Amino acid sequence: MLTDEQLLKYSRQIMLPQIDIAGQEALLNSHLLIIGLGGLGAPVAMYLAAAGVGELTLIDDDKVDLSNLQRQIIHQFESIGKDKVESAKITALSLNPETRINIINYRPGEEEMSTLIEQANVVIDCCDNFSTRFMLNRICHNYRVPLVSGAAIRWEGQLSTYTYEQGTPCYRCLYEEDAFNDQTCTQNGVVAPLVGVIGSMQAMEAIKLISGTGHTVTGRLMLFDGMDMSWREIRFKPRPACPVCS
Amino acid sequence: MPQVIVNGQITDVVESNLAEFLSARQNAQSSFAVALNETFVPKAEYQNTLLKEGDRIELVSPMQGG
Repeated sequence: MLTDEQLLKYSRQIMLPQIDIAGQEALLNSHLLIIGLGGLGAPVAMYLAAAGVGELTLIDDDKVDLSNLQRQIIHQFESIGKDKVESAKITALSLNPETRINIINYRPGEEEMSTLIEQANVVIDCCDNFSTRFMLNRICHNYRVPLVSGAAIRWEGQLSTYTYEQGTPCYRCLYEEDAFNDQTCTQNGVVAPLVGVIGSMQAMEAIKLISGTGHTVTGRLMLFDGMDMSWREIRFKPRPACPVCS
Repeated sequence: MPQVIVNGQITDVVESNLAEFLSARQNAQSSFAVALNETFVPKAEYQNTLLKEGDRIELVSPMQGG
């Protein structure tokens, strides 16, 4: 049951017939996991807190560094040296004080991550390394928790959503686990608003999943190129020999 | 010689299937997913995937940055 203040606060979203009161209540009753509070995690956490997601669990073992601030807009100059999850929590609460925010300032192992994911409605992958990306896919597939996966580097980004429903592919259908090329933002650079583009789309996918509306990019890999401002879309199916989902 | 489009670039091909095409162009970045005409092709099907004039091939590298 929404309060008068909530009806006003979320009015611009509730007036969308695809969301309505039911969708807003679903958001308020949802618990989302955000892995990584860097460039992608910043807009994801800010938009989802502001949009009225009831509970967020933020996971990151990193601390805020001066070189982060160019693009990780959830962190402020005063947060340098603080845990990213702590700094992110302060900003998210300043946008929406009613959000319940749990923070984890270390890297959970596969077992602990499984427990966390089992309790979540949607997982949003904003991390910066392949081993975590493959692990999240394995666990999310195991518990059939939808995974919104984003990645960004230089001027390019990738986005896909895995719902693990019958006939839909997983992250491992797309990429081999030995597919480790060392492309990090530290070594390759990243233009600031790129992470806003991809992160905002991840937040939008999460809102659609929770409110049960629209079509997510399941079975589609969206490729963004900021240099010529273009999107390409590549379709993919479950791989018959996929070690995770086949 | 048939021409295909590789990551947006028009390219002549002498190879008849995707497996031969990829092994002839092995570069340092050996790990990527391959899409033919906007659909990913599983590795097991490279050998049986024949190339024809105008095919669009995309080599997509996995991306870890966040």
